[in-house]
Amino acid sequence: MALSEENRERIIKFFGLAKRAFHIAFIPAILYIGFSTSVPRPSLLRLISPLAA
Amino acid sequence: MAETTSVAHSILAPVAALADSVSDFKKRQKLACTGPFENLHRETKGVFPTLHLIQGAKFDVTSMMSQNFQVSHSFSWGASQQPPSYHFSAGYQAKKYLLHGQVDDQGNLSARGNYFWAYAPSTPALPHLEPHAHTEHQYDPNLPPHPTDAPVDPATSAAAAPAAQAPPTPPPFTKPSLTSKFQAQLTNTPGQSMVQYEHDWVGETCAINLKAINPNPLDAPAARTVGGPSTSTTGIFSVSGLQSITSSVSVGAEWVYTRLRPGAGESNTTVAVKWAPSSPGPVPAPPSLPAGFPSPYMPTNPADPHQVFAASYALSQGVAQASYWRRLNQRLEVAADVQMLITPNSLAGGPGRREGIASVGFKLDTVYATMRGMLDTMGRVSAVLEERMAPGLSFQVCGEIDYSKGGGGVGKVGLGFTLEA
Repeated sequence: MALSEENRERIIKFFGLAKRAFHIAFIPAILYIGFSTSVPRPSLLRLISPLAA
Repeated sequence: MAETTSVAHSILAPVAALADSVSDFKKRQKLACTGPFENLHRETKGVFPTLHLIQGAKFDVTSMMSQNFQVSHSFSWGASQQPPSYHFSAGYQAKKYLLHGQVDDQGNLSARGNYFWAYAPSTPALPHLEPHAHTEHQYDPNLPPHPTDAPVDPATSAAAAPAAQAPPTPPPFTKPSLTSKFQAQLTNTPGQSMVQYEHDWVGETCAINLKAINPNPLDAPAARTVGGPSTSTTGIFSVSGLQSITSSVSVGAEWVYTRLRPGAGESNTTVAVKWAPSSPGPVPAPPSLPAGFPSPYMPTNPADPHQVFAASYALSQGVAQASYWRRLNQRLEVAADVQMLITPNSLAGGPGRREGIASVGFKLDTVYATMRGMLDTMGRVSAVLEERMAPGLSFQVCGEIDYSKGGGGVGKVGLGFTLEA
């Protein structure tokens, strides 16, 4: 499969953006999945202080 | 139609018969489940304090929001080599997959994701407080024995109490599983990030593991030629396997192919052997416990081996590691480990080297505390004491002294608190 320099640059740039997006969004995604599926639904304050009810 | 099915049957029937005879052979030999290759020296890592040493002070707060979701904050300061740092980690565990992320104050992310295809893993994947008899069974030596419905009679109550308080047997330590794992360490400094994909299959008698670190199938090739390939693959790829050949002995190998620049690849092989005799029965109770007393210590599966000897040898680097682990009773485990570097004389590499480190250690679990100690031939002594002061509150103190460095030795001390709410 022939990959021209221009396409390679585009793919490298895409993976760079994808890496940045993953870096920023991974932990918020886990928090979203955890908060939305936990029963009973915990309050957001518990994120900072575990002693909150 | 009938002819095609009979032809298919005549081809498939001998294959099915062969598969049946292989599985019968395996059952007759009673081959044990080996666990993955990277768990060869795992029991000694659980005994030595090396992984549990902290330097300075550390404070951990973990919130279990629900059974599947946990969030933890960790502060550490006072270490001489590391500046004060804060780590935030979140973990979510569902039946089929697991996600865990940890970010620190510099913005470095350590992300992990596992997908369990068919079987659940045997070891807990999320880091949390180790289950212990104290938190699991609420055993208090000051309380009277568990009240039973029958009238209190000393002979029958002593016999009934062990049955009433017997905790459930945990699953065996090594179990078949099929897992795909993804791990990433992303940093803000360019070029320092790492991504690892792993596929791990642990079968009834053997285990195979495929791993790829920073695979890049689209890297520019070393020498660009007209009509030649315009891409080349770089990365670190490894295949490892472990197969049990008798009920106690298993052999394995690992092949790692490293190709960090296009055109320059090297491969390393490691061979290993593991001896884990199937245990004659349940682990004996410690001698300090009166006979017939219900044991307050964590139960172990009676099928798990009580002693494990594992040896591995990396052929190209000349690094050999041998370790021996033994569980003496329900609360005491001992381990010994030897690592050697043996290289022959060579023109390019200079004179041959022959160096080794041996270490001996123990782990003692009491009802409220766990103590680990280790002694090294490099002149290092280290110990960790972890104590559960109340359900959810755990205190850890550790120390290490290196006597080989001058001036009476160089020491490190660490103190930690873990709060689970």
